[in-house]
Amino acid sequence: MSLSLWERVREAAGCPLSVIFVLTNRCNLRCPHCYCPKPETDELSTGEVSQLLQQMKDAGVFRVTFTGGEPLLREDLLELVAEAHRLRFIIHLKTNGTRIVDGMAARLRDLGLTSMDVSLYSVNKDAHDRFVGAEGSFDAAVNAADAFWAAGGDVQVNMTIMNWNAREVPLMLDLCAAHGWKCGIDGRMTATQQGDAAPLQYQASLDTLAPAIEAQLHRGILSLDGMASCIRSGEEQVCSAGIEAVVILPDGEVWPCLTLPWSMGNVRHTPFRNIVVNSPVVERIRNIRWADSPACVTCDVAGLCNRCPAEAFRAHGDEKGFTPTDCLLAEARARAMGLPRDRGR
Amino acid sequence: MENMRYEINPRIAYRKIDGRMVIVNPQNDEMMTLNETGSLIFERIGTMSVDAIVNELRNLFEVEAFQAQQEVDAFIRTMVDEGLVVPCP
Repeated sequence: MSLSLWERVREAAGCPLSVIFVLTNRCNLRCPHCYCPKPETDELSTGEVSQLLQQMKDAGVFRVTFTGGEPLLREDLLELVAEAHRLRFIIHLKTNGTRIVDGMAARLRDLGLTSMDVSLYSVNKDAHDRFVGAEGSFDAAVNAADAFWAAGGDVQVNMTIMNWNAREVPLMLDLCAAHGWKCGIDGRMTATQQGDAAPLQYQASLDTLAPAIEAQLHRGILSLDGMASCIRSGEEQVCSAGIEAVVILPDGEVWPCLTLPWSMGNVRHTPFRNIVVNSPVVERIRNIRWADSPACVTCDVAGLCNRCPAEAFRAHGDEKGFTPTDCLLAEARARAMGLPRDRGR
Repeated sequence: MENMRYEINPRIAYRKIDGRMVIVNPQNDEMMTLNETGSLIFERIGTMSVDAIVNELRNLFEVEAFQAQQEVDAFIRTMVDEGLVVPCP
């Protein structure tokens, strides 16, 4: 199989080209499904983050995503965006939008921010505000997204589909289209970083997920054709965590992804490049193959499955297995596409 | 184009990897890799005039002025068309 240019450059650099930087766990909202509810950590200082950005640049990283918690609770966020821009990163920001007021959106754009992801959980402002536990947060998020879009930046609204809001997906797509925003829909609920499975109670069912996916297919904002025609080789790698991107947590710990709690090292003690190059954790992930779970190899919707080793590890202590959520999501995609089912499992 | 100065589009990202310049334009998420000569020219845009870049190319590669000028002009034209380089105001 030929490698894409991105893959070839990644091989040449010997490190991931993207970093998801969790600047803080602090948040001003109280979403009940939050995967990082641990509020206080010994956060990297402004100087430590700046030094780390330089190390990431030197290693060959192109993209940095500042996220949280709510990253705008860090008083130095503007300074960090400016520094990332000076170092020629493509800079993304994931925010709840509530702190982007009084010209902040234009300021962020001027400082070099490329794109902004804003979270919305409902098109109904009362439902959204109730879920996140803060009155006025829906309007604030919409205003932030509009202001950044007007300033020339890319905006994506992210909606996590849950059992209470899945039927709103077509309305959310309408809202985004009307404002010129992209829309990112995610149907997978995950346990918290501390392993608490409580957020899984919000997982949407097959009957609500399938129509939500179908709505995205009909509007052309999602295509599953490539996946549907994909035949999983038993030797195919399951996951690219730690390979395409790594996560840096507020205290400097480096993880392969937001939900896989395997420490690759800490940037406070080890230079970034030494952590990510030839990481034994990444090697462990590279060795997870579809054939590790025989039921997956014979499953007729394996092509539509994004099996998540992190969730399997949390559920069973074994990253090589699968979870019912993997099966649910693959089945929902198949139903949304109207594919006949002939399960081999 | 000779005395003109250009600058790298401040919104793009670029890194030197294995001796070659790799550029990403976030507008279309496309990645481009430059060869040795392209990398050399790209690194000088923003700090040198087109004339100065041509002269440096002549000295480094021992090529005729006309050939060096044509190569630099063609490279910069492509970069401008791709939105990766912009003329200095």
